[in-house]
Amino acid sequence: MSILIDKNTTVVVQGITGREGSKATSEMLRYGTSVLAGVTPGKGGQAVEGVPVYDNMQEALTNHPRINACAVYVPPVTLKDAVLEALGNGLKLIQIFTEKVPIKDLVYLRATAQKVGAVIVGPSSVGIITPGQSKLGSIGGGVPERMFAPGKIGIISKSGGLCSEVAGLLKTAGLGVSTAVGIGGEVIAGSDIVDIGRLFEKDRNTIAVVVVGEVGGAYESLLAKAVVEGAIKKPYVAIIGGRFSELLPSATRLGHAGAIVEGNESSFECKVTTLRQAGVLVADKIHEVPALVQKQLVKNKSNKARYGR
Amino acid sequence: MKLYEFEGKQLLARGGILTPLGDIIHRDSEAALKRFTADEVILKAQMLEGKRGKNGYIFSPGDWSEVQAKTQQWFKSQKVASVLIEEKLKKSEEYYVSCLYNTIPRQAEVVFSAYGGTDIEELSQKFPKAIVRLPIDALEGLAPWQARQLVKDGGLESADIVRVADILVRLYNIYNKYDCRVAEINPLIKTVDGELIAADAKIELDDNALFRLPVGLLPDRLPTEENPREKAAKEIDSFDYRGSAGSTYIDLPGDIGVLASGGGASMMAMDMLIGAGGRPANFTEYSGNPPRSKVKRLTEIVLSKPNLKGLWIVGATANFTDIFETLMGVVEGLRSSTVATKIPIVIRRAGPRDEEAFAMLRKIKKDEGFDLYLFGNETSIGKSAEVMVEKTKK
Repeated sequence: MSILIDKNTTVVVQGITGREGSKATSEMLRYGTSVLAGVTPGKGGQAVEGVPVYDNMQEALTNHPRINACAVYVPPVTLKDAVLEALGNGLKLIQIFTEKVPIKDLVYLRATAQKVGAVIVGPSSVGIITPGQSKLGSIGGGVPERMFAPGKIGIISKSGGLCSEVAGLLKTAGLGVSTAVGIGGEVIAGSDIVDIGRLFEKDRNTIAVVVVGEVGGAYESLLAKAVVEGAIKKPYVAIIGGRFSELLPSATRLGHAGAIVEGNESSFECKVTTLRQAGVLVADKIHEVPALVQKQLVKNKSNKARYGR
Repeated sequence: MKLYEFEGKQLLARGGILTPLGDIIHRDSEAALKRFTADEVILKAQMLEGKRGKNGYIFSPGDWSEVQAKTQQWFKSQKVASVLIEEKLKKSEEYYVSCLYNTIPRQAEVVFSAYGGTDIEELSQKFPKAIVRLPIDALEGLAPWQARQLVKDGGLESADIVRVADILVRLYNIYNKYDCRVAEINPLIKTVDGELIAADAKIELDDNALFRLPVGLLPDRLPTEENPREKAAKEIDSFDYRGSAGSTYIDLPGDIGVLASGGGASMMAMDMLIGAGGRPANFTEYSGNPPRSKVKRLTEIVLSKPNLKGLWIVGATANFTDIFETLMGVVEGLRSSTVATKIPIVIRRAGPRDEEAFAMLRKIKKDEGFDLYLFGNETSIGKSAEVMVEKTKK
């Protein structure tokens, strides 16, 4: 089991003829993901890595009715239109790689996705991987097996690089990943930490989850709230980046669009404190994550023994 | 992009919201608006920082010589771009209206308070019930009836309900049309004559949407206070859309130059360096697989800060950034710098083509005399930070 993607995932790539779109396509194919079609308006009839390109989504789906996921690699200017096209054609899982998307468009797309019951991951998402089965997007690059081993730990990460980093640390410690999801570091996330956390709750193959968060926004605090309220029960380990923002003037934008400390709630201190109060183990340094995961697993095991669950 | 008050007021006026009669005094110009007497006007320094009232950047002159004196005094600060001279409004009420994105429901919301004029943060702490909020359904927008309901909930009565709600709808339309992140009027003044006038405007545009702002509306302004490295770093991305490099660059008081990669990893790397006792000379970041020319330029900018004792090139495990190409960019930057051979350089990188990259770096270390310390992801970011700090102590 896994969340969002597995060996039955079949993919259409929007913007398949672009630099990153074509590279991701070849990486996905190499990893064994079924990429059946690409869409680039005006370039129908071409092929990228042997994958046929169509002018629109309807044609792609008519020719490949099994497609059930979409990776989006179009420029920010056309992002809203491309995602609306995918949603309008009934696709229920859309992963957006594109960065620098206007906030207004994200809010509109999220509202539309909620209305039709679709999941948007991203924008600025490095991708989703269920190791050994499938990957959607650029996650893990051309050789994902170097960092991502199959296993039972879920990962939710705002950062692409740190997602791979954590997976590699887990692998070295003998732990594997059920599914890793890059949610992006935007102000408005299509899926936030809790959205993905709720999916991991239902996944029997995931026994613990690692969250890679950072300063800015409220998504980490919402996780703490969900844990306190009992909506999330599985053991969590978190690492939060951006403590050094305490040295900087308020409202300075850091590495990601969403990484702006404005007010107390988005600060490093507040996030770490609320997560710890909720029972999430927060690592001081990223290489301590695997040890904390093991600690959570032992604790959870003894809880289960005690309460007979 | 934050707008100056006068630019914000121009947007409000375009959207049909009244603003005070006023004029701009530039550094090289005389005060205008002499159809008023000096005690009928107010002077407001145009700067991007808040709390101008508390910091003495809003002034009521007694005569025209005071106007001139105050203007000249303010212009000594580079933060003051110009001075707005405006008619003084005779107010009977002050309201607060704004539109912004709330990242928890991930929607836009409009906010109203019948107690404007003070800082809204202060107000929300002291009288949270005096502020009413309404989330906006992105597919529906803001309907007038919703705005009327909101302002009545906020305590307005009789005709004010209709008139203030109308301002709220106009403000939301401006916010939406021009891709604002924040559009705030505080205070919205009701004059003794019953007119509703925006006495201030705090507007921030979404940087990601500047490309679709109507032609001519994008403020054409000269950077005033940015330091030369911050400015040069920002310019890197403006000439080339591929990947990003230097869009965030901040000078810090330390002595270790930092060239970090990845939006998230760069922040975590800074935490590690400071945790290891290091003092970063800057924060900056490149990501999204930029071409080597961009990384070269950013390397040069980082190295241009005086008195560096070391350079730390750091990132997590890249997914799609080409490590060979980007580290070639670093090497080209090192070659064009005069200090690069004199300081220890610690590199911690991993990802696509990293083996080729490290083979190249080992050769360059041998052939060109750079003091390089090379680590892949078998060494943690934290450990490489410790090595960097240790090397700068020697």
